[in-house]
Amino acid sequence: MTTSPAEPPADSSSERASGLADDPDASPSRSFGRRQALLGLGVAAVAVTAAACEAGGGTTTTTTTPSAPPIPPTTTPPTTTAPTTTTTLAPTPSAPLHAARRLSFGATPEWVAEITAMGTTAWIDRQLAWESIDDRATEAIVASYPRALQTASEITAGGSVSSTRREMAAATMARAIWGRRHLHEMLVDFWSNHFNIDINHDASTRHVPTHDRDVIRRLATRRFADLLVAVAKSPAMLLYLDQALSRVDGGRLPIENYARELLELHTVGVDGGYDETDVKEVAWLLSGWGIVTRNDGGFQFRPQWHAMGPLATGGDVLGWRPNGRTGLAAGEAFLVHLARHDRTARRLAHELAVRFIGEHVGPDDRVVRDAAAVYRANDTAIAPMVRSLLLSTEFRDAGARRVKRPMEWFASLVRAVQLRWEPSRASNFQSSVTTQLALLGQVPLSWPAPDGYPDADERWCSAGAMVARWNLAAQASNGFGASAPQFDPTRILGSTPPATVGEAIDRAALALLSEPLAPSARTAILSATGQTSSSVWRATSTRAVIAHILQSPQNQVR
Amino acid sequence: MDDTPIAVPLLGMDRRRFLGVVGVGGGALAATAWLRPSALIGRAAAASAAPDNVIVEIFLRGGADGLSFVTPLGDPTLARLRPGVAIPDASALTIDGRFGLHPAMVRIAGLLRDGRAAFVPAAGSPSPNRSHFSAQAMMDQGIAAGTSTSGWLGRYLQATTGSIEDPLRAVGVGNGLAASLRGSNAVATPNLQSLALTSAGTGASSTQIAAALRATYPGASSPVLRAAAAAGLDIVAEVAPIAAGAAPPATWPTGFGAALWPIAKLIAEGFPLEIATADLGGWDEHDAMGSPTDPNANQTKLVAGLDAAVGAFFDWIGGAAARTTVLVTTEFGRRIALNGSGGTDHGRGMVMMVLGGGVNPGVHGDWPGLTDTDAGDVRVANDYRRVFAEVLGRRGRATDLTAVFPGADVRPSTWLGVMA
Repeated sequence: MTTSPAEPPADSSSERASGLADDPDASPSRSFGRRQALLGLGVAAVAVTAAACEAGGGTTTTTTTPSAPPIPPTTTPPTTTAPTTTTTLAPTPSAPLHAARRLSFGATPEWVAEITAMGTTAWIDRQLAWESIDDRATEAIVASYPRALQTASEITAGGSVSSTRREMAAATMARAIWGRRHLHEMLVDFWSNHFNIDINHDASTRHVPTHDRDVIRRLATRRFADLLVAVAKSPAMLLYLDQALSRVDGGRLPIENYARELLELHTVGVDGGYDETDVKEVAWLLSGWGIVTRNDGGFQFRPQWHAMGPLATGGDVLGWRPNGRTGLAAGEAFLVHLARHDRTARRLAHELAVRFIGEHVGPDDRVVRDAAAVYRANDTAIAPMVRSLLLSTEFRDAGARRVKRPMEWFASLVRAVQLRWEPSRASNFQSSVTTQLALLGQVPLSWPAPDGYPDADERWCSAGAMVARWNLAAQASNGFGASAPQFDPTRILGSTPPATVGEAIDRAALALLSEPLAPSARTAILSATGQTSSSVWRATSTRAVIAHILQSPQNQVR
Repeated sequence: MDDTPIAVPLLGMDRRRFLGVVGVGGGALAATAWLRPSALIGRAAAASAAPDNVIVEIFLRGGADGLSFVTPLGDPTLARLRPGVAIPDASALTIDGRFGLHPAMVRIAGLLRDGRAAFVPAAGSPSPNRSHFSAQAMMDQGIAAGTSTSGWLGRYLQATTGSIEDPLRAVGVGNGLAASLRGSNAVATPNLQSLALTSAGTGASSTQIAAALRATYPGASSPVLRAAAAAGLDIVAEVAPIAAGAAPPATWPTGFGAALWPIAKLIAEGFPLEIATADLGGWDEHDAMGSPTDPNANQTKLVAGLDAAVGAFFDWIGGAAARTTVLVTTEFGRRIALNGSGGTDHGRGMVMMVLGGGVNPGVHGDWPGLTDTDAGDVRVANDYRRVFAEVLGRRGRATDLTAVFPGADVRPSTWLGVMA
């Protein structure tokens, strides 16, 4: 790869560049009124028809879709013919690039090189064995957000519990950006959403760091049965879904909230073969599962709040019968039964397939059935199921089609511009995370319903969201205002200045996208900046070039 | 609706017509229209069929005290349970013989005098819920139990969407999409400035950036991305002409006013807005509410802030007020009796307000009084969804309201008469 100098030069060329960029005379673009109109109708047509490009090696899949009939000119003069067909680029990137994009919060040339050297399968196996990857540097970063490492008791004692929300958001994004356990982080994100707890839920806030650390992170690749039981006993979940208040003494009826979500969201799914009677029976079965105290306690089972209810006198839930068991042991046995259920296996495999392969994967597709079978053959172990999906031909051929979700967009921008962690700016980073991700609608751990942030491209691509994404990319073009060595554009453009604009674009694209820019986009960016490929490069164009590449559609997908 | 054409300001009318037939800036629309074949035709058709009405939902987050908005007159209970905090009859701005308004609600009282303010006390959800989190979630989702992944306005917008719709049909002011708008293509933005492409010191002008985007996104690998980019560029082009006036004037009220400014501006400029939402927070007054006649008391400042923001909003939109209906709601009311800190804890029945065009002025719905309570709270006698439904049913596009409010009886016969 062209750019990864270990140390930036002492002389800060970034300051020079950004200082001059404010000078209007230094701007590479002076007369855009007419050009813009032309681009709108005409140049775009050329760009599109030229879009069948080759990107990053491998085969190129092109699909031709019927498109707009020519739009008659309305009030503006340009009358260049509109395109009659739109050729859509859906490239199949190289396997290492594809893995880097799909299995991390943003590909970088460094990671693509590592995967290439190691081999994709070996790299996936290494990532699944995440505990053997030294990530102490990232843990040191997370320590800047102390509540992320504290227990509920410590957070309670420290006061200002609500700071936990912002610190956890920053810690989560810091791990996504600077961590080395890429696939583990993706799976943490997956399980956080599968077992969603809104950190803004007042009673849960102080318990979320413990939940995130000791339940989700620890068990993200282990046995799902263990994860399910640990979640069921996690104070954050017990409070979020009201289970901690569920008691059946004194003629009370159990609270059904957790029981319902356990079946509908956490395990077999809404069409998993249970009915309302089953929900009530599970609510009875789990009565008495609670916590010691709301502010600092761990899990506690209260026998005096528990009764088996209808299941004591017969019947089953999804094939499970207590067979004389009661209390905590009965509930635990039922959870393990749910984890091993075929419906759960299929549902988890499908959810993971949608996440890692794409929304087009159906619940009965072979790749899903295979992964579910692996899960069951390994007694609900998560890592072999994930491995089965990631080594499938379906994964290999998925192409760069999925739109980055906002957390991925934010993280990938920071990674692309190689912004380094700077402890003295920890609070700036925290406010950037919360402000920008609020604007984009995906603050970590803050989805307000038990079903987790949607994993559907359409959900994240509203018109307003696109404007916000583009504006964030523009801000990333100078490392969000950071100066060297935290941000240094020579890491993107190379330590020796490019001779021409074309060379600068090509170098920047490789650094930012880990692959060449699509020729159509290259042409469009040159046109927009009023230059040709052979124009003499001027450092004042640095930010504009970086911004245009970061804003390109190629950077929106993974 | 028949009063709409006369009431629309000239500028507004012009822009709406212009948008419908030609598209803002003509060239701007044409530039992106080819990405979406039916845009031009669809927009022209929508312009003739679309209602000009605007519905604005203001959600007071935190559980606003209804008894500090609308107080029963001649009822000694409140003065007894809220010493120093109850609105004295003598200070209340009279609505009718039974109810009065907080003395700080001068602008809303003015709307009432003009026949443009309706109030529903004892409103709320039929299912008891005193948690901010779940009560807000359920009201945003328009349900009384369970959870939904879409909001009530989101379902309405989705059900009434045309073959193609203007991206500025629905706008939620705030960071991220308002929960009530989930399930729709509504634009979420904290302010109008955020709907413009920023050059952010890159040296690339916003025009230059837009040109590059317009040229590159038709080649995106994801069809979702292609469509969203086209709509995003439409918004940028639509808002560009008012970008210079995107910030509120110096006289505009700060605080609550800030959230209402983008909506007022879009309405006054005649953008094809139909649904807008704004969140006003800070209503969770557990302590030191203070006297309604003290302008510096905490509760008075909240009420006055809302009143000033609503007043400025209607001033700014001028004649467009006749086609604009503002719906004010909150997740629950507060306990009737004061707690030990001079504040009130989470309660049940709250006060909804419907302000502006098409309103049937006065107080509506059942009033259970302050002695027949729900564990010390105002009893919920009026399902909030019937008010939402009536506003949608009378001011929105025709749609099946039972699909917007699943599980609720929102037939017209159940409506409370808040609309004329």
